[in-house]
Amino acid sequence: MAYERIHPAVLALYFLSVTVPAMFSLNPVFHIAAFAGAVLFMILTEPEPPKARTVLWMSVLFIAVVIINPLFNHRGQTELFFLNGHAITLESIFYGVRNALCVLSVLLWCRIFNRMVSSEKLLALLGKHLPKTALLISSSLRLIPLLRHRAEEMRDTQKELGLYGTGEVTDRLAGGAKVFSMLVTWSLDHATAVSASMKARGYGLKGRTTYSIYRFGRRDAIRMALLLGIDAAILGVMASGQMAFSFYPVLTMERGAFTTAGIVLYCLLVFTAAFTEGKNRIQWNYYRSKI
Amino acid sequence: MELLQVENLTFSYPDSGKPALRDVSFALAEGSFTIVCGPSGCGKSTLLKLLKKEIAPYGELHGARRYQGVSYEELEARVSGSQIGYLAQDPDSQIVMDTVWQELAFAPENLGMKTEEIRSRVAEMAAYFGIESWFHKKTEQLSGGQKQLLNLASVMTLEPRVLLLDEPTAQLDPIAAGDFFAMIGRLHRELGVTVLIAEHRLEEILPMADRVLFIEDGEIRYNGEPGGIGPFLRSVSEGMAAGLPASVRLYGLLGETGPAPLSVAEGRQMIKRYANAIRDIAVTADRAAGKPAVEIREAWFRYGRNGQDVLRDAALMIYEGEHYCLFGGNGSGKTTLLSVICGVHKVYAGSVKLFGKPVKAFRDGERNRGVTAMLPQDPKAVFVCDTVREDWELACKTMGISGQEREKAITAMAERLGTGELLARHPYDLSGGEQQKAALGKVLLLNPKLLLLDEPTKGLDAAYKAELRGILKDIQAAGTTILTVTHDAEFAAECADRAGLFFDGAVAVSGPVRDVFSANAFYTTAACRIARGYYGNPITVSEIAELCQKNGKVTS
Repeated sequence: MAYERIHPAVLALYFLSVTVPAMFSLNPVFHIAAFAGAVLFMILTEPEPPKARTVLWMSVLFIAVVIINPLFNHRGQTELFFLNGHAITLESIFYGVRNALCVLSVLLWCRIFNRMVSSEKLLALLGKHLPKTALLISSSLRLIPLLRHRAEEMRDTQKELGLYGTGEVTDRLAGGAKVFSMLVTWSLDHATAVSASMKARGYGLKGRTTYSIYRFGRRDAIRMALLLGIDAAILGVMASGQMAFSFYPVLTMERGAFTTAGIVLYCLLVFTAAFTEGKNRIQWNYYRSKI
Repeated sequence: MELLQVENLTFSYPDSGKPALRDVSFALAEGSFTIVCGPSGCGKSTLLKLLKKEIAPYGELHGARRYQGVSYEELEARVSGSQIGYLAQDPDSQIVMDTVWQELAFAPENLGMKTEEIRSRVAEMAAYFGIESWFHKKTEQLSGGQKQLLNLASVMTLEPRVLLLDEPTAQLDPIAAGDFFAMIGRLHRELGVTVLIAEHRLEEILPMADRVLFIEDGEIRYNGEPGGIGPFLRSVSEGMAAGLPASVRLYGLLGETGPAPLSVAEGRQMIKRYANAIRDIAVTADRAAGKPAVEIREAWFRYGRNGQDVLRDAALMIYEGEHYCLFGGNGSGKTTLLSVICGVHKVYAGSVKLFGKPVKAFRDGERNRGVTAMLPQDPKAVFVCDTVREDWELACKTMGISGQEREKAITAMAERLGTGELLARHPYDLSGGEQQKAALGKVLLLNPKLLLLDEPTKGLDAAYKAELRGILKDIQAAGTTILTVTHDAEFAAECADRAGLFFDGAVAVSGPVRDVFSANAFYTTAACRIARGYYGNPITVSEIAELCQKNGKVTS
């Protein structure tokens, strides 16, 4: 994947650049573009087609968000029909669609971001500014599977030794409580040993640094600068009101000298991920053909 | 030049009448390799911890500790932090971070190194230790041997001049332990690191050492050449001498003189001095096979629907009253087989029968009362109460024993295992060997007809092993069937009737222990390897000695 070679800080900025306009603007152009960009990217990168359950769940979410708005919001000029004496308007349905697209596209981008930036990379980002927190999180991440494994081992052993005996609820609860209290003792014991091992390796000396295996290279700097430039332009156009959009009483889109430029820039941004991935693939196939 | 010096060191823990270390003096020369041995609880761990300032235990201390002539009290934190490396026994409790590369960077980060410096230090260590292929893995996914190598690599990123190692391989299987010792040997040879190692597996490290310290009751009793430790230990106690390499024990039994052979190769040289007209020792007839206690046929098992098969068409027969030992590499599925026998997991195909009755047919809890009981690899998992006595009482409760009878059962068990004074203590405060005995006591109170043991000798010293052997022989004599999963070939050779090798999800070889060991070249005892090709069927050191003496010396 192309994104694996990019510094996590750049990826994080990219994620924000895509989602912030989609979240805060009312202009559906942003949402359609963000949604389309996410879907295209996922088609290119997901190893398997999405599970039927995921698609169903997303569709239900989409329809629910679309329906809720017109049920409670009766503004808008184009009345379609009446429900319980309230007008269901075309505009409020459109607004519902906009909300649904907004929620869905942000969700999809979150999923993409999660794939691009592992917890390890996120920690590396955090480590620079909050080294203590990053260390704490990393050691907790290590402890969780260890505790789970330990709990399973104890439970199996005790089951085998007949602690849960009769299988009655009271027996199971009492047994579970015993195992849990011993697990706490064990983890205190473990913590003492870990802290000794940390001290033995010089933890607590003054001036601890934080190391990251991710290098912020020249290409990352260029990408970062480009991103910041595009962001500034888009936010500028948004702030000038030339990207404003209103649904009530009728759908109206503001237009100005820079509206088209804003839309083009945002689309460029949103499709960059998919484009890079596609280009990367073609390139890779080409390289491979030469092997 | 002396790198580390200890003079008249006496140390007592608070609230303890007896000092843990008494008048200990020795010095480590730069580039030397020293082994500290002694029975469990002799004070060798305390000594190693006292030499690492950051984790030195709290207590009353007299005498002097010096590093490069500087007293520990005045030693700079940065110097002692980076130049004196320390590694403990448990691989898991020394790993701090989530991924391997973070763990390797942890120590250099503590020293405040710059990113570029850390990058080269980490790369160097990962390459030297052969960690590259698992550099990006989560530490959780590593095997025990890999974890301990990672811990060593992490200490080495500090570029220490002295390594203090406290029984670093006690929790590892023999193959991983061999890899670890090989790495220690390399660090010593190639980087000139000074090593002080507490260890009772002397078999592999004695040839590397240039000095051995023997500590008993907190005092140094022997401080000298590795070659002299054999005669010395035999003069002290039979139990400790059992921890010596097979070749050294053989040397002692034969009453040889001159330098003791330290390795298998040297041991082979030694027995060539004896004739080999009589090649085999007389074998008593195998015990008549009783009724089957465990009967596994065509068993298949996997963890989870999409997992891999751990048991593949496994078959195993164990007869009533015998002691069966099962060998096999780490992660080969031996422990899984035990869990299938005791009913914690169920096979998806095939049959498992206990004493002629399918495991499935036992009612809830019935199997745990008087049929099977298992001692897991980590004895700590057995305890759920605040004292050993409460845990034992819980076992009695499971068996439905109470009142006077319960007291009687507990007292009898404590007497049998010699654990009377442990009953009032918290299980986690016991030493490894004591924990093992206390856990075994709880398991035995369930009065099993079939006792399952998972690596019972892990981390035990020779004296404890000998004690455990005695206990198991008693239990077996009383009619209990025993199935032991172990890596410890010496242990199996001493007490098993039959043995099997577990490989690729099934028992590949199975037969009387003598046949299995004398046919195997690697998974066998050191005694077998010494005798291989020269004598026929001896599997223990005493058997070789017997043959040597029967044949007499070659006169030339």
